[in-house]
Amino acid sequence: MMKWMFGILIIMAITTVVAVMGGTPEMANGGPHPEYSGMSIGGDGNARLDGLWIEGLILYFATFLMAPIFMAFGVAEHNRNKKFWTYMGAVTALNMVFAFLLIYFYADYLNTGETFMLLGFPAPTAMMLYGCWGTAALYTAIYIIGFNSFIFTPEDEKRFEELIAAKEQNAGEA
Amino acid sequence: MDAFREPIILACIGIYFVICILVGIWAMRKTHSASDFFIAGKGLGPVVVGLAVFSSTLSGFGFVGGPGLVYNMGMTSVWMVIVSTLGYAIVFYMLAKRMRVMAELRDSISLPDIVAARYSSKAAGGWMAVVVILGVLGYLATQILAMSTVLQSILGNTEMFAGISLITCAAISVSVLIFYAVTGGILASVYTDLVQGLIMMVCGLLVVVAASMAIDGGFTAASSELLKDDPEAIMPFGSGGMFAAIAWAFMFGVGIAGQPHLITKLMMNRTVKDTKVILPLSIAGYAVAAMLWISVGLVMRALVLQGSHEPLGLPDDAAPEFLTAYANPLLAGVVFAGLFAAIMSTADGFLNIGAAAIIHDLPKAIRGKPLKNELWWARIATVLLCLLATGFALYARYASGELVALLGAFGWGTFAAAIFPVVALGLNWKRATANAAIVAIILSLVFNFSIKLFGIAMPFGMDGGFISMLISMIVFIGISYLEKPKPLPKDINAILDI
Repeated sequence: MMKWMFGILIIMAITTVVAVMGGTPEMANGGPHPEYSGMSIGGDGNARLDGLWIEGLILYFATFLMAPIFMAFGVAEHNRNKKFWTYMGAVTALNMVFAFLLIYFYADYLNTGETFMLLGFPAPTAMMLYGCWGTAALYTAIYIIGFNSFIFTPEDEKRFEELIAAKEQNAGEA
Repeated sequence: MDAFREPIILACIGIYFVICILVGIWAMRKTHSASDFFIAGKGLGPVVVGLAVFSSTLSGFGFVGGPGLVYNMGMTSVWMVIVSTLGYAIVFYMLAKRMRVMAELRDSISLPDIVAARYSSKAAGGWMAVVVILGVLGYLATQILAMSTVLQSILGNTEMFAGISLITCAAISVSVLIFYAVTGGILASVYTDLVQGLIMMVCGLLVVVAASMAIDGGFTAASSELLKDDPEAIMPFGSGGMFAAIAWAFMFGVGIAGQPHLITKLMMNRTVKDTKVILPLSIAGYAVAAMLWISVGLVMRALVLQGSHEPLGLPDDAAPEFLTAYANPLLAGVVFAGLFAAIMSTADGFLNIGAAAIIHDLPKAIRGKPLKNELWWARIATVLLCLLATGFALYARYASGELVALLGAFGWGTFAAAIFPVVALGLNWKRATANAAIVAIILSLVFNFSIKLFGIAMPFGMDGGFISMLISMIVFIGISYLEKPKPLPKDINAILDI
């Protein structure tokens, strides 16, 4: 699993270098608001992502992908059973759907100049606030529901107690 | 009620200070050893730890800097909040069990203790102590400066305290902080965190309601106003752009598992099983409190664009201006108390880990054994550290711009880059080596210092911490792969199998 993580990190680093080497479009990270000194503006969304979409999307999806990989890495290898992967896979897929919808609605807005409001925000932003933020909370649900099955199983607990007993015995002998 | 605005705000802050002092006195009676002082004897309940974890994560930055960033650049900074659900989960999946088990089996009472035990290396533990001490000084000084500035702005608006100096305000706020941190150690810290966390959650909820009522049409109208002026600001990546937003998302989402004041709290709960209560509590608390961050910045930007509010002098004025103009005096009082709560809860966490690094970790790394009477020395170190950080803060404010930059280098990114690979990856990967850990720590320090000292701008507005994290992780994993793996001590090997 570490090799996968290492690979994704290398891809992220290379992507960043490639993006930098391609030059920085004007307003890539915004500029001052013409009227209000404390505000910045993004300007033309299409222009500032010109030639950078692929690099941006690689970093974007890699970030969403790395999170569940780190979580899975924190679960002992012998506890990563089929049930665990099914739960993690399902939540990651759902999270990715909203991450994809965010990009889809954003690209659509950049192309057409039109979007719709959803629960107080433009559609792409609503996907971010309600979809990406909300569905990631399901990883917490897996932690709670699967605690005894994947995180700290009765076997793990028993092993832990044995280690404590061994430590106390050693201390007593010393 | 508006006629009594200032007395109400002062009363709220006064009550909050008194609560902190009372908690300190209560906790003093329960603190009998260094283990009690630093990790509460590993006996805290899940609710206390849950609220302490989230309240120490959300510092004054979340209450002042956060709304300011949203006012300035729209949705870009909101990614720091959006990734919180992923971030907290990463912390608990990767560290909650292992930190607690290590604390139990190796009698570890600090992060450097854990690192030294994991890598069987006093040098790795010593370097971790250096990171913690330098980071604590920087972070603590920033928090103390924020606390003093806020107190000065509140007291300065009253007739009785008009013209009060920053130094006097620093003396008042630091005295309260020192009192409860010294008397009750981590116990006072986490129980004040509990109060502070509750205040922050109440603030978050009430402010969202106030913000939605401040503009006709609520958040839909606010979003439409931003969409009309500069669509990118209200689009998901904000005016800062896609790369800046992703860099923050990664740095805050993954880097949260490298924040020492947060992850050391995972050594304090009674049992490993408690973590399944602590995780949802922390996430819920953070999400509710962070709503203030998003709503205030968004609504203030919309109000200014609409012409309903004068443009702000500085983006950081967004929250104070909102409270003055649109919040009921009682709500303003509670939020100002919440702001102090946010700052102090972060500061006391840093004081605690800093004192542990000075009197416990460094002596162990240098002499091979801890000091005698650690509890007494811990209290002395807490006072000295706090005074030193106050001195740093005031010196940086009045005399040295360079020092401010240096202090700023020890933000979230430096901790994330130095600690995440060494601790979060190292506690889950048997192949990780001590040399890799030491190189990753040193590289993170050098990289982050260089960026700040030489004013190197990162491309696309990406945060330097993101680049630093990528480099640090790649180097850590790469060196570990290149080195021949050494056999681990039997108990560490067993812990990494659990």
